[in-house]
Amino acid sequence: MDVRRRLTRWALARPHVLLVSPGPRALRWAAEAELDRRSWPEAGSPADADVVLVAGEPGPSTSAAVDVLMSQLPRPRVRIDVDRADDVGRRLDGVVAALADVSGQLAEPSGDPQALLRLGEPSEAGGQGDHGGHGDVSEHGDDGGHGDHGGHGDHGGHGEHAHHGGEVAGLPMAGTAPDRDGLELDSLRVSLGPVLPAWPTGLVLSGTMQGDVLTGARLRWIDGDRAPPPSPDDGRPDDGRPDVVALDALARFLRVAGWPVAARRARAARHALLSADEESVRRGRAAAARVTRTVRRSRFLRWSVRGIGDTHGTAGDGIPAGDVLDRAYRWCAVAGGGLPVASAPADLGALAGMVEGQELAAARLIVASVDLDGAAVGAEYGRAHD
Amino acid sequence: MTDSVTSSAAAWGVLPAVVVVALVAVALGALFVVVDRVAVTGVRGALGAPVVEAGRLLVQQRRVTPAPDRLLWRLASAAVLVLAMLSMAVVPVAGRTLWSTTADLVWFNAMEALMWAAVWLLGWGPNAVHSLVGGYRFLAQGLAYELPLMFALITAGLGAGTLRTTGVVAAQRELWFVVTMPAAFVVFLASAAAFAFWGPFSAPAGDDIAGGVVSELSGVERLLVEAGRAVFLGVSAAMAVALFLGGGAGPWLPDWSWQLLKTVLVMLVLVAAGRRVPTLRPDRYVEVGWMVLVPVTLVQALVVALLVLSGWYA
Repeated sequence: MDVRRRLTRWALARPHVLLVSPGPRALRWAAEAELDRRSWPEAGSPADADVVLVAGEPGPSTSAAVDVLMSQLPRPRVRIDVDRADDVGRRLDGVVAALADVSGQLAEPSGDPQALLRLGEPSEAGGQGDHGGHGDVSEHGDDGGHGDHGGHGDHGGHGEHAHHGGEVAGLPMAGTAPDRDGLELDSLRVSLGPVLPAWPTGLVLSGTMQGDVLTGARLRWIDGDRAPPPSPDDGRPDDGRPDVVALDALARFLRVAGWPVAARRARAARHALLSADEESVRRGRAAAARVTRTVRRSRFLRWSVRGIGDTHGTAGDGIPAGDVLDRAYRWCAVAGGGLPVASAPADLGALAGMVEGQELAAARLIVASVDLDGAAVGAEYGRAHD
Repeated sequence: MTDSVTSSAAAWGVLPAVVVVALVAVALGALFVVVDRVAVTGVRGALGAPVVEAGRLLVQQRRVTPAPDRLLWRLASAAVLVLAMLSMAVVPVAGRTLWSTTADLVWFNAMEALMWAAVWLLGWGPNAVHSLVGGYRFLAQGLAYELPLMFALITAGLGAGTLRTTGVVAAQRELWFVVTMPAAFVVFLASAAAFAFWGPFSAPAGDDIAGGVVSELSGVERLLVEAGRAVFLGVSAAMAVALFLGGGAGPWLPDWSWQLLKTVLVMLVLVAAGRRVPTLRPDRYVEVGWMVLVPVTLVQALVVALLVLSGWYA
């Protein structure tokens, strides 16, 4: 069996990793730096992943979501939890052996994702019946708890979902409803999040989809205002550095915009800037200048995303004025040291208003164009400690 | 090459020819993966990447979603690779194609058109939102690239006066078609990237929809689809060499090595260009497809038709 084991280890030498990061940003950065260093790809979905890496302490709902997520991974699969930045490398070193160890146990009874989902939400039939957001588990009775984002139409959509055409395998069928052009089209309840590529962990966007147009959009953090737990070694001093935060936001935006090469370059610049070594920092600055120049000069990017998520001149609710491209350019400027990063947290209600009636691709770009991960969570973090 | 036997099935026997062509197709796909990996993540580990990745997916369990359309989903995952292999049948290997008909170019186009069904079903099969959106995106993309691709293929056939691939290669003894058909050459390569939904045309499998049509695939089915995409890209590079770059023509070296060299060169150019730009949103470039590419390829065909009438290619 030794030959078999060695073959398995060889085949699993470059596992795909699904990153869940409920913890501080600096911890996620350390995890991403380590994955990039090893050239281990970040998985796009549970089906694509061998490893779930949980960076930080998940809150109760996120924790339940990770359980569902784990049950959706094909075997062999491994979950690792990391809460110290300097621990990431060591934990990843053990992953290949751990995968090879469990690779023989394909027949072991697995947790059923649907059963796990029902545990999270026994009564609300329409709330979880989709695979749009991998591993979404709604909070109990959360429908009443979002009055604070009122005035953006985020509750307007609920009445029309009453007539779903029954269930298949426990999932609600798509019903029909008039779309934005007045046509009767299939409409499907979906939730995106709380874990998606280049998406703030714990954020859930729910709504109704017709084709790929999203209506009745609502945004919420599944773990509410729970602050990420403080951890002594997470590199807090770097967490707020504007150039690093901007490069991080830019890397995520570029990934959502489908430019993996540029996203990787932005991450590499970010890793270098966070280094303790003076020479690396200097190289990081040069790399940041190069990647932001590439982004600003890209005619394809301009043509592809211009006009999406336009605030029509009004900045507010923590969302800088302009369209998604303007906000990406703004990060380029911040990364180059030209501007301070926005300090006001983006308001989820305002953001939900912006994604209302947009296509899925546009909605993802809009969410990726504001720094929710840092702004909202960071602000709550600050409040919790004041 | 003996001029009378243009089909390798006739020259070497059916089974050996099929095996050789299939192996060449897989090798071309692997080569493309290596070149692409170098562009995205650097040289480290790129050489072994296709083999290691295949091994990983073979070890992996197949996973299903609740209430999938099993039959159509599985058919679709197998179809991507099968269609890529079948399109290789009309690409010359060592001067001969696996089978040679009077309509090779139509065959190539037909295999690629069947990708519409395969990728749509791939999106439909798992009964999942992201996957379905990926399927829709592929159809939108198809509307943009299909007609320009057909005109590009037909232009090469028009210049050669035959739809037989070996005939098109032979017609370029004097002058490579890329000289008089630059637009058709570029459109052909861009369309190849589009029907393999790769690079700037990867919206159907985009990160913004968690991998889209491939988001729910695991194990051997993911392997079939990913291999199919890679083989399609490798095969298209080889086909571009045959249609526009004179096939195996070149001084000193034997035909096959020229063909390989040119194919690698086309892959390098394709990857270098494709990875420089972000994903293009299908709803934006459908407009370009119809307003720019269709007229451009039509004018290209018209110019070639006039050159044929004036005896330029004779």
